Parts: sequence; C-alpha cells; structure tokens
Amino acid sequence: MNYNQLVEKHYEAVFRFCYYFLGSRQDAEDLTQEVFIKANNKLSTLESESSAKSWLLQIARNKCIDQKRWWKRLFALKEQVGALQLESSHSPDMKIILEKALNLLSARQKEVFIYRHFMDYSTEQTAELLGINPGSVKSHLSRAIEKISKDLE
Amino acid sequence: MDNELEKIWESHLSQEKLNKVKAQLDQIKDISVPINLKAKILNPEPSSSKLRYSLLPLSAICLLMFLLFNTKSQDSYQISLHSEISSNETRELDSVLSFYLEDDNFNLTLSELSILEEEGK
Repeated sequence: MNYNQLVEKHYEAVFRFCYYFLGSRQDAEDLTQEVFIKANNKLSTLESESSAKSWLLQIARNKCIDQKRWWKRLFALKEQVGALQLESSHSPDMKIILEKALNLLSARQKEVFIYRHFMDYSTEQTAELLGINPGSVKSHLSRAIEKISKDLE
Repeated sequence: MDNELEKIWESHLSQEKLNKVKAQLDQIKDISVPINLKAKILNPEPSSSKLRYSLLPLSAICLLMFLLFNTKSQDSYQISLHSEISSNETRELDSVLSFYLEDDNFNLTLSELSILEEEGK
C-alpha cells in the first residue's frame, strides 16, 4: 500500500476520531495532517495493509493525548472557568454537558466510547483495534457510561 | 446505538432521558469531513495550529511589556535608570531616588544623580 492509497482509504476515519477526541474541528484537521506526515515518515514500519487503520488510529490517539496535555497545561485556568460557568448555568444544554463529560473520561474510556458510539465499531472490532480483549472494552465502556450518566443526573 | 450499548445506558438512565442522550450523541456524531482535507494531507503546509501556538509566547511578551510600561511614571524612571547602572550601584541610588521621584517632572541624568548623591553625603 502506498501513501496516497493510505490517505484515500483512511483520512476520514482519522479526522473523525481526532474531532471526537478533541472536540475541535480546526484542531482535528491540523492533527489529521500531522498523523499522515508521521505515517508517511514511518510507512516502512507498517506491517500489513490490514493493520493500517489500527496503526493510523494509534498514531492519532497519541497525537490527541499530547495535544490535550499541552492544551490542559496552558489553559488549565480556562477549563476551570468553563467548569464554573457550566455549574452556574441555570439550565445547561445537554450537548454541552455530554461534551464536557466526555472530556473528563480517561483516554482509554474516551477512546472506547468514541469507537463504539461514533465510529460504529462492535466490541470485537474495538478490541482488535486497541489490542485488548473484548471484556476490557465492555468494562471501559460501562465505566464511561456510568460516569457520563452521573453528570447527566 | 446498538442493543449492547442501549442496555448499558438503560441501567443508568430513564428511557426518556436516554432518548435525549441518543439525539445529542447523534448530533455530536454528525460531522462532515472538510472537503479539502485530503488535498491538504497530500500537499502538506505548515500546520495552522502550530503557527497559532508559536505566536502565543510572543503575545505573552507583548502583554508583559505593555504591563511593564503602562505602570506609574515613578516605575518608568526606576526602570530606565536601573538599566544604565550596575546592580551594585542600584541599591545606593534607590535611597536617593526615593526622595526625588515624588516629583512627576523629575528628569535627571546619571552625572546629575551622582552629584546629588555626593551632596547627600
């Protein structure tokens, strides 16, 4: 598989994943480009065509986590202010609460939640993509839903 | 949302609330991929986010400079004078300056200051 084929086949999935993870369209677009730059540089390490998607999503995941860490450090105060505003809001929009709750999940919980809810992967497919067993996927998913439900109460 | 997911949700939320959650999750899920993204990936340009972030330190320096020079005139005098002398001399000059800096029109050269300091002794 050459680079152009790799982009053609997977750029939409990578963009969607980055968007769901970061919650920002612009950041997702920038990060998708960075993912493919990295992928192009390391294309020789790609073992097989069948593992390309999982490989790209793994790169995307690491990039998203780095971006979140950086963002968190720089704008920790902004997040606190945002949380206060949310708490003080009389009747906050459910979509905002959901997005906020998603942001509070651990990276693994969030990843599992995204694959299962937004990218339509089954438990088995998610497990395969993440290299973990289906039982762990279910466990991360249950905890994620439990946390989000508490925020929605 | 498949049956497996629905069952987990149902154990935490009422059906009414779950329907609302489903609608909102669908809204979050429904994102269009930028039309020109593929072209951008195949012909990469410098990332706009990197450019944005690289401008942040510069903005911080500008803000600092603004705050520094937007303070009282007294501070400005001290900054300009202290920048012309060594750190050892700073402490000695401070005692002289603290008296004369009460005047907003105060404007002396270093040689005039040294004369004042001599007279002070």
